[in-house]
Amino acid sequence: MEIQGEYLIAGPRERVWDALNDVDILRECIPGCESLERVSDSELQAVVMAAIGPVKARFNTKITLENLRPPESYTMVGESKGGAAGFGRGTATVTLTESVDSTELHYSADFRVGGKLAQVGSRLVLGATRKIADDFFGSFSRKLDAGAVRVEVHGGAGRQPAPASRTWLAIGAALLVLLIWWFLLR
Amino acid sequence: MTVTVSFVLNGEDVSVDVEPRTLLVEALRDRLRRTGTHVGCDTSQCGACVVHVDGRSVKSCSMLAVQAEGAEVVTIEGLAKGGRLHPMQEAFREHHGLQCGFCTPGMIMSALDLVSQNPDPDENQIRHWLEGNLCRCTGYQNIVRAIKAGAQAMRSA
Amino acid sequence: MAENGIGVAVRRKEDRRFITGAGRYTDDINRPDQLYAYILRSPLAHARINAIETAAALAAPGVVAVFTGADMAADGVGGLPCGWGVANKDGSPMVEPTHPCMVVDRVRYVGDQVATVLARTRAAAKDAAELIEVDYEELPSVTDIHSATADDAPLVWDEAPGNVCYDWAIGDARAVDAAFEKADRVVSIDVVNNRLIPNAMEPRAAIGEYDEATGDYTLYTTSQNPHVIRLLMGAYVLGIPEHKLRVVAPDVGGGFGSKIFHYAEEAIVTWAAKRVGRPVKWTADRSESFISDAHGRDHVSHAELALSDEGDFLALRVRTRANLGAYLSTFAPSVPTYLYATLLAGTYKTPAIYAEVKSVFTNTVPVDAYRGAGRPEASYLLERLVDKAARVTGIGPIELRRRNFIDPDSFPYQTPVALEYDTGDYDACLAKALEIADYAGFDRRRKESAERGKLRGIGIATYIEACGIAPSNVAGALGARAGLYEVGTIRVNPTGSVTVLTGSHSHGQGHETTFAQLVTEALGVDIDNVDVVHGDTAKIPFGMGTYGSRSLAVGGMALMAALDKVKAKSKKIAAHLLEASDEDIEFKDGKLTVAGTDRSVSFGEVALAAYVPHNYPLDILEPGLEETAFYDPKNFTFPAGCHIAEVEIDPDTGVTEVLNFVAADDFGRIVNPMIVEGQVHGGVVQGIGQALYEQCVYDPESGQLLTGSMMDYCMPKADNVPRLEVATNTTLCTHNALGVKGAGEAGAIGATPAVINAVVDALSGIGVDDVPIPATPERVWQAIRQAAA
Repeated sequence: MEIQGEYLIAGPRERVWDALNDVDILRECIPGCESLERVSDSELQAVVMAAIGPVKARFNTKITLENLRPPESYTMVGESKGGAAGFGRGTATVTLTESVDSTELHYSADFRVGGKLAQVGSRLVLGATRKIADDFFGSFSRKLDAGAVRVEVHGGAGRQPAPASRTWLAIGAALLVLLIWWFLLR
Repeated sequence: MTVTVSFVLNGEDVSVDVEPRTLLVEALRDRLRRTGTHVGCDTSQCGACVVHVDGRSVKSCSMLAVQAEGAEVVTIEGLAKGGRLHPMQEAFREHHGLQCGFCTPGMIMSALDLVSQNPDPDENQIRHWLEGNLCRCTGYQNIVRAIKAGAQAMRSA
Repeated sequence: MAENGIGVAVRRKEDRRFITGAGRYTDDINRPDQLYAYILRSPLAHARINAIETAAALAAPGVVAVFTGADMAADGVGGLPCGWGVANKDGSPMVEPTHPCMVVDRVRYVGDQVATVLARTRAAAKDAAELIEVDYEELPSVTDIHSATADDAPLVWDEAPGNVCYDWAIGDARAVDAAFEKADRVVSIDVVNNRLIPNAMEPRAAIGEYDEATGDYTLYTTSQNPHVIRLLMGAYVLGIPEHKLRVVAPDVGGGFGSKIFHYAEEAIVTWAAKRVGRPVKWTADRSESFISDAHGRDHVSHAELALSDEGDFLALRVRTRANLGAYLSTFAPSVPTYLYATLLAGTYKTPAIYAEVKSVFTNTVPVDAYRGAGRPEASYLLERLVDKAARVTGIGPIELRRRNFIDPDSFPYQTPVALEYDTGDYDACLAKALEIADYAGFDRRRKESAERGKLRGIGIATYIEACGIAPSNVAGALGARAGLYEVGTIRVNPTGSVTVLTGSHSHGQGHETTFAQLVTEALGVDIDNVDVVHGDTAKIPFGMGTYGSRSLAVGGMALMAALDKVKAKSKKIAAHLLEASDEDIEFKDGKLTVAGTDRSVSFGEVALAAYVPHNYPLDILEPGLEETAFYDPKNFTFPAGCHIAEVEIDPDTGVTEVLNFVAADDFGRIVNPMIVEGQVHGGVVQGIGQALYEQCVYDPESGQLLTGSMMDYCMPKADNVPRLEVATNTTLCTHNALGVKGAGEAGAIGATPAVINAVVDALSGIGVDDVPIPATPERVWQAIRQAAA
């Protein structure tokens, strides 16, 4: 199953693109983000402390950006390690499309979790993901545009029940949503 | 870093130094050596760790020790008085409400909270109340029977 | 009958400590100066390990040592042994890979042991484990039987092509083929036996200790069979001679099979205790239990039944594939073979049976015996098939079973699959169950439900199991690498109280009471003056422990034999005291009397004379009154019975409610009916759990366990199960002194097919003839929708 999401943000595409690549903005929008650094042009490193449900853990996350086509789209390949809490890995593609006087941000992602994350959390993954994605994009969008809205996309991402036998979870998340998401699922 | 927590345990004042992250059940078992309270899971599902805090049943794995500061805590060890079993303990024995005994302390402590709120629970109410207590041995049948009998014994006591 | 003797519902002697919180489970024990072990486990289903970096963990606060598989290998520690070998059809041995306590260069399931941190507190050990960096190179994995046997499946073990551990068969294939050719009708079925996670309420724990001054090791562990652990760990893993290794299994909070096996953690803490010179304690948290306790079941089968027009079973052909997990757990190979396929005759006189079993490795937790172990799988398959045949032929589930039951007067009955049943009356159990269940009134109840828009169904299952494992020579011929006798000692103390030492182990079964009842019955000693000691290799003779419903049928019989010896010696002592011949002494109600006279001595006087032998026949008799007996059973015992479940399904939600459940069982003689009923209750609810709720799920792509907590793995709760009606119908076992058969597993064997048959019955009216197991609301709802479409 693929999860995807779409947001309508006022402002030109370049501005959204820049914001998505602005580590300061991203850092502010990720709850629990302790550090976020650009290691190279295509690599980011983050530490996020997350405490949801009964478990709290610090996740070290590495993101590699691929297929960069500014300001249109890029793909992120990420890996996040939370020690005993488990790990997450995945890819996400973000596409920015110009509208009249705004930008449509579309994301779709494939994801997997392992260890305790899968053992205890997989059942909750989709619901949590959706909420986190919304939270992130909510604050991200409002940062750029106080009136940004989330667009209901076909399929109602996150509304379908999680497939009981799959951990490969398609999630809709932009780079930092992926990060946060990892932290939340244990 | 440790903090000192003081509370009343089974009628006695106790004081114990714990790390702030220490759960109440860990303090009871590891520090205060009251090992009758058991740990059967790590997701607060099983209910083996149920104790009473200020008269209400609490899963002691879902509460920090420091939160018990000043509280009145009763564990399974605090029920029998002067060598006399509590009627609920007696009922579990009489009705074979236990096999391996691991869930038993939590079952008894949980049952007592039910009876304190509903002195005459029927079978359905008992079964519903036990949602948060898992037993793998008894199929619950004799636990339900024991709680009903224990409640009756407490009413007529 | 003695006051608290055989047949009395004596309240349990062991209960007082459990209801007052004074039970002593392994995690309740702390040893002076002990360290806590945390075991780092593989988060991946299959991976090569390129490097393990432990320096940061070692430097963490409170950490004393960090060990890996390389450290154990360097010390010459062996792998965990497998206790049962199974041969392929061609006679060649099964593939038996090594099973390291901690891996060296490759992990094979999520949960595999990778490193062990020892620290001064549990939390410090756990914190430090987070600092261990393991460089994994992930490999493709397989978790389910279908993918493991696919053509291009990744290999769990290079030495096991096609992931096959063994390809085994039993029965006469040619006779079966011939019978199928002549058959009027063939009914076939495909069934899955869902993988289960045992979840005894007490998580496993182990404490290792080493005394440098004496060279003695002690292991406290959550085990059903401490001597077996001592033998396996001492002889095969750590190389510790038995007289230097004590294994204690104190109070154990449930086992259901999962605590039979020798686990890595037991060896790790014992070995590490010597390495660091301090006791080492490990306790699983529940998440760890899910990925480290052996799982159960996990079969996929196809079965065909050949029938005559009249409904006589002519032959049965079964093809089963079983999932053994990543390594061979202690008794794993025997479960889908000798404990399963030998039971495929069930309660029926099917003249020809042939079964093939292919067991495969997968990247999952090892699978081994879980309550019933093979017999629930056999019973589920057979009873689903018989019910289907009853439906297809129109003969009906009662009539078809009755037509094919082995007649009560044809015992001993040799089945086509190796076993010889000694006794039984299957129709009597069926009749009793039908009566209690008010089967005759079911149609009325079905109509009532229908008026409320609900679908009601009733399901029958008859079952047989082979218990009291086992005649050692038979088991040995079938591949068991251990004896399967039991031992008991009756130690009469000078003042006449009795200490019973038994090799059986109680982890809920109430041996301290049942075995005391045997003593009370035999010697007339007050039950309060009998204590049962078990679970400590330093105290008891070499015993084989508790599994396979064997404690009373084997362990109890060892005690009966020891009691006979005590009685014989007591008679000799009494004869001396009474100046009579020992043949003339009658031993009854605690008194030894010269037959036909009023001259008698009490058993207490005899005991005292034995230990204060001032007036004693020292020339012909040793002082003391303590006897040990080893008992090796002559055959398995064959408990059997009939279970009937009545369910109601809400077609709008797919929720199945079990409204009534009846178990009518034949356990042979019953020593304590209260305890036996309790065993049935627990087993039945585990069986209902398998039918409706419990299912272990692995992600097929990543090999992650998805049902790894009590939130995700659904076990029955008090309000999921009905009140159970339990009855017995007794035929006595013919080959042991009491006629007992065993009762521990029956519930889990009969209940599952009864419930699923009831669900299918409820849905048959709307065109559904099969439901997947467990029949969760979603699946039942889907089945209803599909039938409507």
